Amino acid sequence: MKSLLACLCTLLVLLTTLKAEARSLTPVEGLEVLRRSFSNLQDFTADLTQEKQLSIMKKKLVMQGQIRFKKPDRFYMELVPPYSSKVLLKDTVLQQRLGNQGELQRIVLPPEQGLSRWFATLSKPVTAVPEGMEVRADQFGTQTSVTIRPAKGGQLKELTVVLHDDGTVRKLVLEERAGDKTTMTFRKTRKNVGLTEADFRLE
Amino acid sequence: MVSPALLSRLLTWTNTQTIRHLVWIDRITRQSPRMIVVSLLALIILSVFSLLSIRFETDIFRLFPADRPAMRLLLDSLEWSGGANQAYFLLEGDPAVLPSEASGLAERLRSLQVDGAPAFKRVVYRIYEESEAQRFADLVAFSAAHPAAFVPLKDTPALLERFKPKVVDQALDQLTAELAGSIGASGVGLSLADPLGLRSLILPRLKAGSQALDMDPSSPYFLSRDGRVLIMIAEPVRPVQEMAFARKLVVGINQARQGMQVQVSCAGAHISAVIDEAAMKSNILSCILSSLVVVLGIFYAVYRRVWPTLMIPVILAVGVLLALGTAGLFLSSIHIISFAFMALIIGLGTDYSIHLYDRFHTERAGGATTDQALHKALVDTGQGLFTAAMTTALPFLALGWAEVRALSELGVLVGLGVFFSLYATLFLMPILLRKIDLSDRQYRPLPGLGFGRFWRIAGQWSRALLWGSGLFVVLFSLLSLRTSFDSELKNLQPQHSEAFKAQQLVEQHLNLAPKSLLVALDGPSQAAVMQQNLAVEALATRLAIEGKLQAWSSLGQIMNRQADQQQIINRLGAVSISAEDLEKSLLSKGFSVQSFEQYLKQLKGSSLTTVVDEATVIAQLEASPLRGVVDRHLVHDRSGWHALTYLYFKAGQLDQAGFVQELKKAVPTARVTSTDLVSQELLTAVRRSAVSGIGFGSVLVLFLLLTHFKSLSGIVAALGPVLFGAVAMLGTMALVGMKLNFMNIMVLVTIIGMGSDYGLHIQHRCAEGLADQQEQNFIQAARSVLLSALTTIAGFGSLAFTDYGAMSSIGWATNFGIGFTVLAALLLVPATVRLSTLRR
Repeated sequence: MKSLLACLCTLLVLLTTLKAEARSLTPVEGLEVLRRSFSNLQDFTADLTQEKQLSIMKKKLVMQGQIRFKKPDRFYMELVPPYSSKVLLKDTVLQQRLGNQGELQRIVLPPEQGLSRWFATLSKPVTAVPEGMEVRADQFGTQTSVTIRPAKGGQLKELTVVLHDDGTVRKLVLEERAGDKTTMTFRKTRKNVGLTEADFRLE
Repeated sequence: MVSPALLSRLLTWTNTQTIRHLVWIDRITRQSPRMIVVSLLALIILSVFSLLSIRFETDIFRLFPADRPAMRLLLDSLEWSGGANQAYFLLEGDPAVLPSEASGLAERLRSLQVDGAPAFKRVVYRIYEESEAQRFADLVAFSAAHPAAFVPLKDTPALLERFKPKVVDQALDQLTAELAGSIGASGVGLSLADPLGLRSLILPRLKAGSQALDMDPSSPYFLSRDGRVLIMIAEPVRPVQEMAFARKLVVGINQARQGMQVQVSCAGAHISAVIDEAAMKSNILSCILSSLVVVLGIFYAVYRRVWPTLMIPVILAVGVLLALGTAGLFLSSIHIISFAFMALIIGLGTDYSIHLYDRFHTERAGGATTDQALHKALVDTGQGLFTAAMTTALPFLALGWAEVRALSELGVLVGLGVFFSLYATLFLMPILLRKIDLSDRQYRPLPGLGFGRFWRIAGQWSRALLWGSGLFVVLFSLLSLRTSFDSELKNLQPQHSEAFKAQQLVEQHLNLAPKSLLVALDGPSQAAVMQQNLAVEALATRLAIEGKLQAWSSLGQIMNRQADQQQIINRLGAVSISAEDLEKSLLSKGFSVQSFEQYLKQLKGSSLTTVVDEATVIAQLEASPLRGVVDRHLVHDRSGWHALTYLYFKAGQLDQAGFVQELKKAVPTARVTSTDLVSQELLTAVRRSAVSGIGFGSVLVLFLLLTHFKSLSGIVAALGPVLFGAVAMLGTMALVGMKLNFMNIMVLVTIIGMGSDYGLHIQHRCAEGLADQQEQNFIQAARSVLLSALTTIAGFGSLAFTDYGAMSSIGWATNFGIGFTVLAALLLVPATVRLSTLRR
């Protein structure tokens, strides 16, 4: 579950750089536009505000941070205090460190959930919505919202991507079946800035 | 005691019967050749039926006695651990590509199908599998509610600290940070299971206890510390002992690992046997064919006769078939390695054709008719052949009583093969020679191969030769004192086999220590074996403290026994947190108390201060991703429960014999095994077999030589070269750094029978006639002896070049022995004959 969320989240984060079509979209069209826009991307960075409403907490957790991505399989997220943490995904290996001195945790995702595999899939034209998945795309003024409901069985209930008409994603919303909800808002998005391996370290 | 007169009568009678028997063979081959051929065909058909009832085995473990305690436990442990059934893939190569290559291989293995169904139940190469997340969270929940069952005794103060109000607040702050930093809500499960973060005191112990190999603790894979070897474990859906399934599985495995950027070795007690089966078969087949080609080449090069040359494979085939057919009457199965006996039969069985044909040819060249020549060859030379064959066959057959199956099977097959090859030669060669021989056919004298000069040198320098050889015996004896024994069983395996390579990789990259011991306690119930194992654990703990162990593991190492739990709880009682206190803290930190209802409910039930039954703890571990650790240390099978403890140490660090004694004192019912203990058992069995084999074989050979020569000089002539050859063999082995082992030590038994033939033949022929005639007789006998030694060397030599350490060591040792023995026979026997003639 953790890994699936990590990959989906990463994918959605990447969508911040994508260009949205200013018209009503069918599910296949929506996915295909996202894929085409993504094909021009090599790397990007963005500032992040994350809000979590977890079922086990009465209060909402609000965090600030930054994300980085580089093709074909690197993703990095850093949150600043009071909830400082760092997450690095290198294809299938997910590493996380809480605080500056926390213990490094490593998890290996199944190959089919590896970042490179996701992007390899995205490189092919979308001709049909994957089996069991529901996609809904709505246009509201200058914004487009794409909602993805993965196949049943997992903990993730729904993912919503809100895109600006300039092609960047403003907001991602993850809703889980247990009622937990995470909202990520992005700003200062910069594309193809020439990120290197040095930008993807946990030290 | 047998009186000399009775002994003399017995020897005379035996000798007379042998001659009468040979005369009968001569007569019947002359008078009723068709009856012989028909009878032989009938015997062959019966042998084929018998052969069809034999099962052929490839499992290397079947070659050793399974009734010895250490070997029995080793085999049991292979069954218990799944080592016998599972397939282990060792990927070796560039650390940068290992994970991706492993991922690809795992996918191919998971999708591998045999007979239309998936071939493997599971394929694992990562420490954390996502599918195990819920089971892991359940274990964390249990251990956080019952920390006394898992927190090491030495960490009790740290555990007490965790329940102080201030530290509880810090833990909840940390929990909040974890939830904030995790992706989505993925951290919620573990937070609910363990809100106070007690797992940081528990998981390191569980992780350390789950290490059966020396792996990189920071790697998410089963990876060696140097990062060069990654292990993948695959469990086939069906037992790999089902050969049809195993063979198809191996085909699939070989396809799956094709074209990889890293080296992939596949191991597993049975699977590697199947993988190596094809190589083993081709190895043995190439031995057989190469020795046959060389032997036929030698025969044809000297005698230049096509039909007798072509008759040799027929004789050998008959000998081999009858040997296998007879063996099938009392052996239910034969190991594939034992088929190497065919190469030896090619070498040994051809000797009789050489001696028989050489004598026939010599007599024909001397003007005798076909029948006269055959009579001489069959009755006179045949007498020597009969004794020689028996002296060769009987020591091999004496190995049939060896406790090590590898030796007993080989001994029986070679012994029978020699016996039947002799009879096939005595019956078939005369029929063929009568068929192809024409009365006016010209037989040119055979080449002397320089043996006339040998005869003259032996006459001129007889004393010098005998003294010189005595000196060499002393020299080689001194050298042979340096001969050592190689008790490493792995060195007997094929050096390029999968099993060998995998073992090397594990030794080089993954072993916790170079040596290990396994202790097993058997009992009717889980509680009983766990209770008994306390004494083993106490012993291991003491040895570890004394620095005699590198590491050790048992189930008691990852969980606390009830007494230890009680100790922790006694101290915990005063400080542990109440459910109400935790509720307040959770509320104050903004948590929803209802979400933690499960954990709070356990606290209200005094879970922190309750001693948990060991069976409950084990059941929790068994239901978690750590079930492998339980399976490794606690086994339940039809015979009951078995608690296992593993001890790891360096060579010389632990006195194994002392440990076994101490263990037996502490727990008399404990069983123990290790490679060294298995080797010791084998060594004892082999030594016993060698001593009895040498004793029994020597008595038989002596009796046969006594029957043949009825004089001490004849026996000395036959056995003197053997003594020289055996001592020189040991000395040369020491000189070239070759060691004795479980297999080649038996050459000391077989060389007596094989080597005595050479002296016997030369003495038999040289003792006849006047001085001039003696020289011609020597030349004829020496030629036959040299050729038969060469064919024997060709047979054993083919083994010397096999990949099998076991077979190769037999091949080399025998070739050294045969080489020196024939040299001694060709020089020393004529020297003694010339010296005694001179004295007369």
